[in-house]
Amino acid sequence: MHDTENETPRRPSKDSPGRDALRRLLKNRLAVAGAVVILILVLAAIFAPLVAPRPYDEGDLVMNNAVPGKEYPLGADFMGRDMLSRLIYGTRISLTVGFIGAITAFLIGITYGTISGFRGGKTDSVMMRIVDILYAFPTLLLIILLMVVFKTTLSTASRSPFVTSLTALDHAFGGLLFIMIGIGLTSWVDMARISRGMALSLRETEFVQAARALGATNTRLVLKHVMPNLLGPCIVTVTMRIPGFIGTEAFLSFIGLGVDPPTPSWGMMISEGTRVMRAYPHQAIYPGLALALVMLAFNFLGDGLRDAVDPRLKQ
Amino acid sequence: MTEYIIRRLLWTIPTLLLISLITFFLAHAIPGGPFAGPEMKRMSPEVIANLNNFYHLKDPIWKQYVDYLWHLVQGDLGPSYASRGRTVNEIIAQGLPASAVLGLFALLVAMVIGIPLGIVSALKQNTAADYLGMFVAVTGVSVPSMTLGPLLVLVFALKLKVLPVAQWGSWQQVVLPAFTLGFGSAAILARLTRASMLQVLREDYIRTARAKGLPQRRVTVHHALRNALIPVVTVIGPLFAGLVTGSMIVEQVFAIPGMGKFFTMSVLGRDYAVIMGTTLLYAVFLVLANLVVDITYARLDPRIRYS
Repeated sequence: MHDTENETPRRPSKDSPGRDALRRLLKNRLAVAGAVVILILVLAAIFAPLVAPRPYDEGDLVMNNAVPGKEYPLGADFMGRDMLSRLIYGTRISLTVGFIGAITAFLIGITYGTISGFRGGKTDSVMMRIVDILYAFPTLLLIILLMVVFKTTLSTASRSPFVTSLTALDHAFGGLLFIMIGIGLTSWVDMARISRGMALSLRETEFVQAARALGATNTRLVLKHVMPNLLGPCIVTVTMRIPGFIGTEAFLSFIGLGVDPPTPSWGMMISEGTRVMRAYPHQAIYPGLALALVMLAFNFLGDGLRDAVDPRLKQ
Repeated sequence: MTEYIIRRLLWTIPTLLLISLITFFLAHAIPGGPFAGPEMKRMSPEVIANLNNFYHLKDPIWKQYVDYLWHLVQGDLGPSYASRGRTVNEIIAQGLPASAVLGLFALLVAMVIGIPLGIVSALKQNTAADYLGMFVAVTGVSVPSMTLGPLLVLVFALKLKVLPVAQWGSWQQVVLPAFTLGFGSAAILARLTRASMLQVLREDYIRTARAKGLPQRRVTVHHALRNALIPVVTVIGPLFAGLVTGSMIVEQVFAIPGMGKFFTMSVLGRDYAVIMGTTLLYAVFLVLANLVVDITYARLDPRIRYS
């Protein structure tokens, strides 16, 4: 017989939804593997000068196209630069683009979407119309056009000091600045849509109405009540976009609209490698594998995050 | 239904106009004009001035745009500035067949591999077959064509020597590029088919069909598949258009003389008219593909029509 009197009461879970989601995420082995890989790559990017055996731009023409061996563990490219070192430095490019693209999309998209959704009415209609128009434009083509404009701005002397300083800054980053501007300008659109939808529905919830009844200003409502509830799904969405950003940078560098040489972008390395693929396939394969590894890692992590945050799976 | 179609068609016109506007102004934002690049420095300023006048490049910008649109509706995409004497139409006509064939075969690969994979994964959910199928799908989505292309060339062309390395012409030369281009889409289709199939299999009418005693085969094919494939069919449109843009990479890796290659060449050579023409073409393609998708979806799923 069930002893209902002396039964120890079920202790209510002291976990916040965040901790709950984290626990579920950690159970997902693929997601954890992805996170570990990303961590290793981040470390490699930060400590690249210490980890890489040679500088990425030091070419030894005598040893060009060397096959993988003792001197050059992963071989050398057509200018005699060490592939392994270039791959390690390449993590900087890919990860920078991935993270900063994500942050930009996140910040701009959420701000835009929350304002639009929360305001509602005419403001919302106008803002969303703009978003719809931008959404209809094929992103990749827009980025390509933007990059063409940016790149050719570099090669022609310009009168405006703003432009010259911008291009100087871009050179300092090895060509990355314009790529990030391009990605930033095109990537916020779907974040805006998602956060606007959520802001709209959150606006009608009881706790928001209660806070409003208590006299909370709109700003306070948005910052303290609406946005924290948006964060979870938005973080998941943006993580799943990261492989896309990395892929876009690789694509741009592949067709020659990305970083300036000798900056080692994996995309550019693949492009250079395909030209000698018949004789020296290693030059195209290794950066390709690196690229796939990063994208896989972020995809697994993103999938894991999405499953962990999914309210339907809450126990 | 027709009202829906007409409404959608009417929406594409402002969209296309806007795309042409943005493309036009971005192309003309390139400083210096098409004849100012380093490759053109060999010409004397008088020649450049003449060229600018001939192509009306000094006219007010809105006038140039209206001119461009006027030619556009007559099907004339303008002259190429880099390869003088040729029109954009000619350049596109040269490259389009190869790209179209590549795209078609890639789509075939995507459908033939992706859809059955998704169906099998759904039918045998949570078994080894399912996990394998979904692992392949995730790999397909994550491994970009830039990686896959060289890898396939290494394995099949260089090591096993069963297929040619590159170039275009024989059927063997279609295999690797089509597979490289189509694999990513196959993965997307597999995931989508599986999710859709799983959802449909849980529906009540499937239960009814089984309760009626129908053989499993008929339940799956006649009842489940038909409904599960609706969202899949609608995704094929944008997928095909996406293949067109993805072809830029594959055409470079395999040295295929298609539109993608011309596009990248025009971008690097700053040939305005070709850049604009091909961008517009791609964009029109995508917009039309979305339109076809929306209409197909409305036709296949009556619930959409009446919303």
